[in-house]
Amino acid sequence: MARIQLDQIEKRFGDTPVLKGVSLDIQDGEFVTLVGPSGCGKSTLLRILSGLEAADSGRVVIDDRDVTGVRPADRNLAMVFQSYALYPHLTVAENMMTPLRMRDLTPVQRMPVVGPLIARGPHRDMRKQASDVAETLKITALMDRKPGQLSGGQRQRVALGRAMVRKPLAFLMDEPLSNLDAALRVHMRAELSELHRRLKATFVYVTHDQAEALTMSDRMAVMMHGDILQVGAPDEIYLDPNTLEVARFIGSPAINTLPAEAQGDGLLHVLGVSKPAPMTTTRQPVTVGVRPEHLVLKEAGRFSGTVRHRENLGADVFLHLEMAGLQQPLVLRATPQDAARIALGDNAAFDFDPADMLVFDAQGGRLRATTPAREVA
Amino acid sequence: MSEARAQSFRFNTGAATTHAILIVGALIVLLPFYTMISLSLKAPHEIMQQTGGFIGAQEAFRDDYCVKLGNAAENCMVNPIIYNYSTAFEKAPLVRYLLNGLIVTVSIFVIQVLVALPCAYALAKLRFWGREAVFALVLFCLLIPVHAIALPLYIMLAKAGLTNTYAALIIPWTISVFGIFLMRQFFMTVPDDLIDAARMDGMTEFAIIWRVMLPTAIPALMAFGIFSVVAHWNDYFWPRIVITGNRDLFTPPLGLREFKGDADGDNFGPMMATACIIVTPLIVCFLLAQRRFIEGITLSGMK
Repeated sequence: MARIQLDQIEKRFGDTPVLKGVSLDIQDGEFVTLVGPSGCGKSTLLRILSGLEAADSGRVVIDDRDVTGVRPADRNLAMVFQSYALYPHLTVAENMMTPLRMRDLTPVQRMPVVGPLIARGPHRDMRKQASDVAETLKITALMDRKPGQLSGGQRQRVALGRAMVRKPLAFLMDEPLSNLDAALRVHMRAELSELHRRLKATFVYVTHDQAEALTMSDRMAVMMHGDILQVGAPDEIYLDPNTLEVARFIGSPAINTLPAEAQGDGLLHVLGVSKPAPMTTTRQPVTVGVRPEHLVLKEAGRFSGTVRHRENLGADVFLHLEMAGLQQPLVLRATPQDAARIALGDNAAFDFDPADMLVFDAQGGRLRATTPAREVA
Repeated sequence: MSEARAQSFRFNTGAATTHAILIVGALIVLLPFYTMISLSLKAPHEIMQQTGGFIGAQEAFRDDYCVKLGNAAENCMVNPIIYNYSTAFEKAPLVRYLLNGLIVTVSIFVIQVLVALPCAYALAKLRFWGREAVFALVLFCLLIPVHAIALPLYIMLAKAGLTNTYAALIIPWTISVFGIFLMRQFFMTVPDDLIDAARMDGMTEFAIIWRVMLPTAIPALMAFGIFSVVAHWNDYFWPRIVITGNRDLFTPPLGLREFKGDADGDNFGPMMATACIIVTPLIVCFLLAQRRFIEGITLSGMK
């Protein structure tokens, strides 16, 4: 299929820089997600990749062919839009055949009535291809309906079908699940991953939802302020973020951040408690990030907070703990059994393993240890 | 049950006043219409003496013209309705006029659409230098009354040797700024994603206009079509200016003149019959497309 290289892409809208020299290398058959908060430039990057928008500088290379100045249709990419963008006046079948008609037929063959008569072969092929794709997506029964008569999920499938019929080099998806209800969104995530495995095609997927990025992608690129902050496998990004911003954006509930003071001797003070932190060699204020699942309820825990809110998700209970010296409550993931023993307003003692601690300097950059931290009990 | 019914029929002063005013307004609008239909049904003496109510006595009367041609008086007795309507068709080539009207209005509308859709698309969806200025010019042109530029237009057509042709009736109206404006407003509501999808599917900008924008704009085009067809079907002013001699090019409203100001006086019966025949196609079209028409009006925000 296709290897895509984005090289030093820059884009400004008026005086506002939207993309500041973004480079990204996407391997053949990879599912890459561009994830970031709204306004970070991820959609613009996708549109530049598709050719719908022109970059101010930089190159787009697909399979070693520089396509920077090539118009969208000639890049042989397919795009699925958030609003699906189906042609409202055409039936599902006609919608799916449109890219084929535009690519494979001459203007004469495209003419209504006359076209199908003089070019029976091509028209039959097109219908065959469309119905094959419809079968894959299980929308054969909808082929004669208009988009207005379809539900959101069905429209989503038709939009996918329209992208699939012409067997593009890569699929570009711009928040395709955002207009679906929650249950269907979760279902479609699995289905998109399945589709990716089956087609073995390159997928570039834009979303603001970190859960979609974590669940579906082979690699994800976290974008903020017009720049890619970190590219890597979902696990890598989640467990080993490069910056505080990435750590905060990925993960739900968000990572807990605690102000701390590095001592310069391999220890740091967090809320009055000393933790080994070999990554710090100088005295400086730092921020410690700990994921909710790494905070453990413990009788002998050295931290304690008041339970202000309980979020019961069935399998897990998230406890929101208010602590002196912290503006934001800490979120702690507990099992339902443990959480049952703690009522609202109670004091809960907890602790965490220093190995689970992510330490960031004052600028938000990650401080990494050369040797893993061990607590000297 | 009866209580509920009493509730639903409760007298409402506000609504009653509104309807009273609307009824008076409707009567004022319908009165000339009533006169037109009534006169087209009555005999000449009833029209002159203003007798006979709405449809007249429908007694046969003597057709003076027929007598003048040397026929026996008893052979020239005619029924008013038949006389009025048959004279309308005999004295003037009304079918020809109706056909002219059809040719002119349809040509104008088709060319207006051919011009307005690409313009509106560019103004609504393409980014280019000076777009806002061009759109401001379009708005400015909306303010120019036809009559203000009639004379220059006439002189240009005359210099080009086009007076007394279909071209003179059609060309001045082919660029409709109102059409451009209306369609531009409609295209603004079409999501950009749809256009981007079409571009991804390999359509050129013109293909997008005719294959995507045109079909989605049918309701707006219907509204514009009604405005355009009604205006040019009923137009008396412009055809009167550019069609001076050739009766074969008369549009239906010009046909009305055939009955006016002859030496033997105005012949109101056939004249009103002609008027009835001229307005009928529009009324039939309106009745057929009533729902679309109201949709279109609401859509364009015109009232």
